[in-house]
Amino acid sequence: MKSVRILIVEDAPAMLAALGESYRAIFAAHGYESAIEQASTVEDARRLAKAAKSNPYDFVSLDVNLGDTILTGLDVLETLKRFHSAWMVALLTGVETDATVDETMGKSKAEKLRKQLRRDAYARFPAERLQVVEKPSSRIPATESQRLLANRLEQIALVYEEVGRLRYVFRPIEVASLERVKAPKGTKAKRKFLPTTATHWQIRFNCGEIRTLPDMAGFRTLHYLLSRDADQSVTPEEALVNDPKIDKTKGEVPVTSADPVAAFFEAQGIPWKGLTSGEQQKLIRAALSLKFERYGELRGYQDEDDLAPSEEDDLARILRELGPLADAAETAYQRMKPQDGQDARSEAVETAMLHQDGLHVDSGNYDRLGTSRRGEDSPAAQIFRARMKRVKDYLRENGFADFAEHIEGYVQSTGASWSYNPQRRIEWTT
Amino acid sequence: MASLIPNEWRYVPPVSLVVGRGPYAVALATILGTEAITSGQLSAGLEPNDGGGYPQVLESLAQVVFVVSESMPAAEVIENHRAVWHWVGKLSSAGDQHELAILFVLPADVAQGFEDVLAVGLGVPRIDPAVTGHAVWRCAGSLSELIDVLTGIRPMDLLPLRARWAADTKHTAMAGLRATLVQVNPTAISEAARQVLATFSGQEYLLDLFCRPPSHRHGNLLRNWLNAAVTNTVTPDWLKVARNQLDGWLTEDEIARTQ
Repeated sequence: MKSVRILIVEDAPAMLAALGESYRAIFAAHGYESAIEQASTVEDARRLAKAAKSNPYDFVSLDVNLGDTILTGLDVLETLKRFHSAWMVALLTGVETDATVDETMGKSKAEKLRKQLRRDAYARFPAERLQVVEKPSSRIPATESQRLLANRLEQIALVYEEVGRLRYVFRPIEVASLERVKAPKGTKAKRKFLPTTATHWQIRFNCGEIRTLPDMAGFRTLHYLLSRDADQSVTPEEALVNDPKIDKTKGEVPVTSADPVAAFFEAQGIPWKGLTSGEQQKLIRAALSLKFERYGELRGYQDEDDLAPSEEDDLARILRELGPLADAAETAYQRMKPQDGQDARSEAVETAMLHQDGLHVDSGNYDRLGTSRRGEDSPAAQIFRARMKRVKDYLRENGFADFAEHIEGYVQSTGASWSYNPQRRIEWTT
Repeated sequence: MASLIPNEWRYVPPVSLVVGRGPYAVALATILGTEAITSGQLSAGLEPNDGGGYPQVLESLAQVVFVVSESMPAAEVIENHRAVWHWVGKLSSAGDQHELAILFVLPADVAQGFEDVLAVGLGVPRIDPAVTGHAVWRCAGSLSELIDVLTGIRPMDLLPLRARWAADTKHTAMAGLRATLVQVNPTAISEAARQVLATFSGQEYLLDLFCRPPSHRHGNLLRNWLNAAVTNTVTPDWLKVARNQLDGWLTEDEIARTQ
């Protein structure tokens, strides 16, 4: 049985109970098992809506007039939209059928009010997932009113099923970006950026949240979404976290070996145990070759404590994909990476070279060639600053405070020029 | 020129924000483990990143403290309040539905009338920490009292405030005036101006709350303009000039922004 998570927002206790029962029965008739939550005030409803950001409701039944002097159901609707916490909303209104409104306001004003209410509602929530539904008038007999209500809720359930087909919308897009290119080996410079374009997948998730995923990740997420029941809500986080499930479901081949590497290859139909040790090594190298270059690059950045958040994700993804081969990749990386001693030597030589250049008139206040991307004063810049401080202190102590201020102001105004940042490195800095 | 987002926010997203200048604001910011930002920084707006977006660095923001100096008019405090919400709207994914506890720290000897004017600016009958999400504290008390008041505020987002503005006569009269400016109807303009004057009758000084800084100067210009719009004949040429002038004097329509 499919499941539907429902929130009913209604201030009248009797109506709240009636709606709960009706929705449960009607959705059950359509093959859904309902999990119903209820709220009777705007405040409670908005709190639940905010909390449902990571676990959206499939369906929200929302009364407009909730007895609050300040806020209405329309404000709850706005919260549901902002936090993407509802897939579909049925806005229940009494204004449409309440004859007392006509009597007290006059027909034309009441009609204007009804139109305005619809306009306000559609301005707050995507029209294709919002139904504005009239509650049966309180003036008609109870049995007739119940029958009408049941009819309208039945229509809502039908629309819910229909709209469910639109749950995931996706399209390929071309994304222009700057690709980081590692600096040539043996240079201290870090990386530079090259403009590049790549195909990404833009996926609109069940409640309107849009994620853009790079080629393969996008494909996998789409594959996962398409393999699921269209009726179930999936948040982007769930889809991404569940990504490896695709491989798991595909690889439902029974594990025949305790060795994870053997299991990995056997799951792909390779008779691992029948291969010689040399063939096995060759196979591991071949499996690694596709991902190892990027892995090595990212591990290098990680060792330099220079891994951007997106690269962290990338590294985690590669590790996930490598599975039991991750250890082999790490061993290969450790074998190939430059030794610490060599690195330190080259850094010392580099620093000495830079010292000879003296203070450089160019942009940047920091020596960006240190180990950290965020930058720190170079030794030369530190010497310069200390010297400036001594000069200013001397001037202040000898009654030339104004002149010291003047110098300080000047240095600050031209701060970018008083730095140690040789031009030839600029294109490589981040 | 738009303000740059403080770089440290990217690494340590702030939980508290202190708005104001001077030693008190700086000391308070230090105690709360954040930095003080000035009215100038706030009102300059924000500079988007290269992609045209904004980093969501205010996701964790829970408290905002406005340190009001003795010379600061209430209109400027309200303008800062408006600017903070613009920042939150851009730098938090919850936007105007981000919940905040807001505290106005007033000088010890400031008159009660100042508080009342702030309440008018916020569109509330009085500033009540349990109902409005805002509180007022005077510098006379101890720091622990301030912290108690701050933690006692029930956080609230902007929706209830906007709903109050939409129901408040002063805010709706001003919204009506702004709305008629886009029309080419001299009679409607005169009528809207008359409506504003009637609503603010005896409290014309409150018009400063709806004016851009320097709010009092713009408020004076607005008061003169309103009187002229009611007493003189409004011609299309006059209207054209007036529209440009009012654009420069009046703050944005906060009610219309929601609709």
